Amino acid sequence: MDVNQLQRRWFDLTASLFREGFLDDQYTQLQQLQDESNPDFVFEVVSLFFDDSERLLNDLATALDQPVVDFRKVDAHVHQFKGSSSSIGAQRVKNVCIAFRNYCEENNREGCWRCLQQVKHEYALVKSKLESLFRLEQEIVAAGGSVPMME
Amino acid sequence: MMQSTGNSTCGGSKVIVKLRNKICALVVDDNTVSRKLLMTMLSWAKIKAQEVENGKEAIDLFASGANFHVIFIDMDMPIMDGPETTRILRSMGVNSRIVGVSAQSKASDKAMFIGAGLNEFHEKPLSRTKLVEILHHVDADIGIN
Repeated sequence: MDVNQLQRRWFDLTASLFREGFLDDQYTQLQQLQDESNPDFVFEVVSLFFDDSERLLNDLATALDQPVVDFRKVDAHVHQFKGSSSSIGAQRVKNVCIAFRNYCEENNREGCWRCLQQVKHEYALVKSKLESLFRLEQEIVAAGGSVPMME
Repeated sequence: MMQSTGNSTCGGSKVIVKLRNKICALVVDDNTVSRKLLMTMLSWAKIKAQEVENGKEAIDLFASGANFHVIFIDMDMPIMDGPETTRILRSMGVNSRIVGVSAQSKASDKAMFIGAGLNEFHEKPLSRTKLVEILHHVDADIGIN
């Protein structure tokens, strides 16, 4: 596949991520911070988000699996998740975190459990899509092109 | 003399940093993703910045004689949270601009944090436009103090 075709695929994939609400304008802000002095910034910060999310998902599952749930502890983990997802523009993950915190406030174990399943699902989806986007960017660079910018 | 300038396009419009003074910033946040983002934004604005993971580390820095013109501080952190840190820093006579930045959106929490001695509060994540606005305020404060 030539560079132009790869770049078109990149545009289509990126546009679909915004259209389907996986990403919001914050992700564009990350892209705008990436330059020659900081060429891998988006990949680096998103990788931190992946590491952080996997740790938080484990912590949340453990906290909700206790015989007596400490909802303040659960809420603290969800708050962290909300902070990191909003920092990279993972909008659908952030939105589930907002609903999740409401269930924490109500001490609603069932609601929290449902939100954990939802947030795991949304996280897995956005992770897989962002990994596809990064692979495509590597292919563009390997083919001698440059990664485009969304306006 | 102009110390720091940065230009970049943001959403079709230019975000420009023009500062007369050399500004030092401290980022206090336990969230690695948020910290990395803010440190990169400060680096883009050519601001010298240091980062710590909780309020206790920030207090220790000031107690050891370090000083910063502006402190970006998260609300919920382990060991020492944002409001307690802010209260202690103010009681130590720290008059830096303290900017609370948090994913916490409840009005009562925000009010409590501001009451601890913040100059301003913003919801995470900070936009570059907002960051530049804050830096310009800090720059003006240096001119006055």
